[in-house]
Order: sequence, then structure tokens, then C-alpha cells
Amino acid sequence: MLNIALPKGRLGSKVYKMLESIGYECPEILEDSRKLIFENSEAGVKYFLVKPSDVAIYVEYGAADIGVVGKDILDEGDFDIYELANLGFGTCRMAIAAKNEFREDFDRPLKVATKYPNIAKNYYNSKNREIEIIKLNGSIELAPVLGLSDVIVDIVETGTTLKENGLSVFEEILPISARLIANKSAFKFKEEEITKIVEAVKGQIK
Amino acid sequence: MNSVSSVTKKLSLLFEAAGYKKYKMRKFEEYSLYLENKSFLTSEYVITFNDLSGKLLALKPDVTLSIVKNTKATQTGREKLYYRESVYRLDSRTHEYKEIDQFGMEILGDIDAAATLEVISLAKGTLAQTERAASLCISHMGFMSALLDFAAGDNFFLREKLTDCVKMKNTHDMQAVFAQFNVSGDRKEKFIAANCVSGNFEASLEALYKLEIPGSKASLDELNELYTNLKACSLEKGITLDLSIITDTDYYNGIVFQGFVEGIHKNILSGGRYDKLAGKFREGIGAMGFAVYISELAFLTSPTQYDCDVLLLYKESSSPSEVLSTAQKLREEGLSVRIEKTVPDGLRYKELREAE
Repeated sequence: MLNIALPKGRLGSKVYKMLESIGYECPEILEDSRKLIFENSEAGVKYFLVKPSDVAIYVEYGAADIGVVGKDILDEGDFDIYELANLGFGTCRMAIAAKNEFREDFDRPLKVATKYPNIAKNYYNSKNREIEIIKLNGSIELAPVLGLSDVIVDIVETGTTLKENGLSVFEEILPISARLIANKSAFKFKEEEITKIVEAVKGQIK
Repeated sequence: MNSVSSVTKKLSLLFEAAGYKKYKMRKFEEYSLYLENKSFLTSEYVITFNDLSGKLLALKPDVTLSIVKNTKATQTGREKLYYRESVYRLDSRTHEYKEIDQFGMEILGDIDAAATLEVISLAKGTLAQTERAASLCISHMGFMSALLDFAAGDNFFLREKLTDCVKMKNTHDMQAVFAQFNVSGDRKEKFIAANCVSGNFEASLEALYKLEIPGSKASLDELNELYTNLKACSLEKGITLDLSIITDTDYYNGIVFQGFVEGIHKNILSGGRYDKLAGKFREGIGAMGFAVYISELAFLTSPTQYDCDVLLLYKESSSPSEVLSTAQKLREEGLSVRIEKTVPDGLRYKELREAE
């Protein structure tokens, strides 16, 4: 039995369709219900629907053998897992954005508002730039508009929210996409099955 | 699975049967030992305190450093030790210090093929005590160094980024890292091909030989010799070659390995050859060993259903000596017996008996 953690929402549905097409079907998951665990013993698969930011935790601690998670969450969390494939969808970018008229003052630390303090710290450390992190949990775009921060480090998909709030992307930090991850111990004991999925998934991406 | 205490008893017997001496140390060491060798530790954060003379001490985060510091081994005279000690480390996730129950063994002195085989066989024997499916994954730091030299030369940043990818079996980001550093051709292709190798030991080794990475042959020959010896002793089951087992190249120089047990989410055993560290304290000696994280084994056992097998109730009129001898007889039958006048709140027992 392979235990798979899927992120709730659009990304999870897309990944399920991909896994269904290679033999890991469990149609019940598509029904409109509040259930979180779905099992098809014939196909040898059990799916868990979890909060996207928790997928890597479920996998690292072995509750799930494999899972699908965004690269932003992996880079922010430093998880002890295997990252076996880039699924190539759920793409967006981690970027630095600020008010359209923003000019950086290098004589003082830069105030950075973000949901991703580790990614922001690592990036600015690599540039030797002193910063002050302001950790926020949502509506990050408000921070520079209200003068709370100079810039934000956040995920940008279309850029519409930024534009509507008078902000622009100043620099891209890293591209983001969905990744297939595996628990290190589970990989040792289910390597054949997990590798089969990785190869099939990679085949679909091509 | 056996209880943790029975596993540790068996581990002591396993090492004593192999002629290893028990090593016991105090809970603290001078902080300078850890400061000078901080990259050998899993975390540089240790709990420190001053004694009355002002000397800075630390609660030990590691046992191997203390063993190596005090070893009397020479190039010809070996020291073989095993230990069970608590170590104190910072948990990177919770940011809190944890006391970790650790069992381990070390051979110091001349580390030849026979010593290497003995360490690996003891690591396998250790995993077998859990009575679960187990996997011992082996790599070679000499091979990894040669591979990194070939692909990244002395470019520190490229080496660091590639090492991160290797640890996560992340071959797709390896491609991006090579593109970022403008590395292509054989250097890129062979590095990625090496890291796609996984699973069956012999097939993996053959694939690595075929890549003909400069400076890697001696390491591959050592892995080959080890596997041949393991096969000759029928010990090859559950042994795999896995390059993602990668440790600090400043200290580890040869075979490295990690042990996994089905049902535990991370490795419970970790070890390898660390001549570079041993050589810092005693010139020319080699060293090899491993630690097993006993605390993790506790997660495999379920709590006992009962607090005792028999609850033996006595009355005011009961003879104390008769009550005790009744309990003793039951205990001789292998039952746990609790003597009480009334049933204690919340006590879970299998059987209730009344004393005469």
C-alpha cells in the first residue's frame, strides 16, 4: 500500500488525475465530501488530502510515503526528504516586489515583508545585504503600500494583484513549481513502486 | 518488536561477543573540544556552563570526539569500544535541546578490509535486533569527493549546491545548477548519471565503474571488496548503494552508511570511516564506527495494555507473609503482580485475585 499526501485544491486535483492515469485510481476522491482519507486497496493506494503547506511534514515524518508540494514550501522549510521530480505545473515565481516608484536606500537595512522569511534571509545573505524581516501571514502586498516595508518577497503568478496595488516585480528569486517528494525511509522499502511512479510521471511531463 | 531495554541488552551482548570493551564517560567535556571540531557535530549549538574554576564545559553533544581524544590506539594496536550514552543536541525543528539515547561502537587503529567488514556486519546485526525489515545504505566519501572534483573543481558554491541536490536525490535541480554555473558536457552528464544510480548494489557499482570518474577507482574497488566479503558471509541482503548518504568531507574519508528500519521515518543508524578526525588527535590512525539512535526505537513499541498481570487484593485479616508468598509464586510463573488492599483508580490489570 502506497500512502500519498495530496495538497487540497486545484493542484491536488491535477496531481490526482495524473496518478489516476497511471493506475492509482480512487474515484471517491473526486466526490464532493468532507472526507480526508481515500483508499483503494485493489490499486494499493491511500490518498490523504492535507493543507498544501503541511504535505512535506506528512512525508518527512512518514505518515505519507510520497506527496506533492510547491518548491516554495520546500525551500522555506528545509525538510529531510527526497525530491524526486519536478512536475512542471503549478508554476509561478518567488519575486521581490515594491511600489512602482521605489528606489533602494543602501545606507540602511532594507525592510522586507514576507510569508517566507527563510527564503528572503537566504537570498539577501547571498547578496550581503542587511535586512529587517517583517513576517506576515497574508495580504503581503499591503506592506509597502502602507509603509510597513520597503519591499516584499512573495509568490507572483500573473502579477495582477501587484499591478492593482501599484506594485511591480523588481527581481525574480527563484522559479516555483510542484515537486514530487518521498520519505527517505519509505523510499528504501518501496523503492520499486515509488520509482515506477516517478518514471511514469516524468514520462507524462515530457 | 522487542522492548527498547531488551534491544539494548542484546546490543551489549552483540558487541561484547565481538570483544568490544564498554566505554563510559561523564556527561560533560571541555567546550573547546567541540569548538575546535564543530563541523563534525550535527549542530554547532551545545549547552555550556562554567565550573567553579571558570573552565567552560559543555553537556556532550557527541561521544565519538571524546573517544578519539582519549584513544590509545596506534597504527598497529587497535582499540574496540562500544557505548551507551545520552547526548544533548539542539533539535533544528523545535529549536529546543533534546536528550538523545545513543548506542554506538568505534574501532580505532588499523582499519583494513577485515575491520570494515566487521563494522558493517555489526551494523547489520544491530538493525536485526529490531526484528523489522531493515536496509543498510552504503556510500563512499572518496567516490563523492572524486565526483565533485570532476564536476565542480574547486568552485565552493557549485560543490555546495550540487551536494544539496545529491542529498535529496534531486536530479532535476542539478540540471538547473549546472546551467546556472555554465557547466555542460561530460562533467554534467556523468555527475547526473552517477546520482541516478540506486538500489541493487552490484548493478549500481557496475554503472559507477563505467562512468570512469578520474580518481574514483580506489573507492569503487573498496566498495567492491566490501560487497564481495559480505556476499561470502551471506550478509548482502538488505545492503544497497546509495550516494545520497553524504557527510562532511573534512572528517569522513571512506565508506559511510545509514541504517533504516521499516516503520521509522528516518535513519536510526549512522556511521562511517573518519580517519581525518582520528588523525587530528593521533597521527596515522584510522577510525570507523557507528551510532544507533535508541530513542527512535521506542516509537516501534506499543505501550503495554496492562499495568500488571494480576492485582492481588488482601483483607485486614490476611496474613502479610501469606499474601507476599502468594505474589512470589505468581511472579515465579512470569506474571507481574501488584498487591493492594483496594483497587487503585485507573489501574489496568488482566486478572483480579483475592488473597486468603
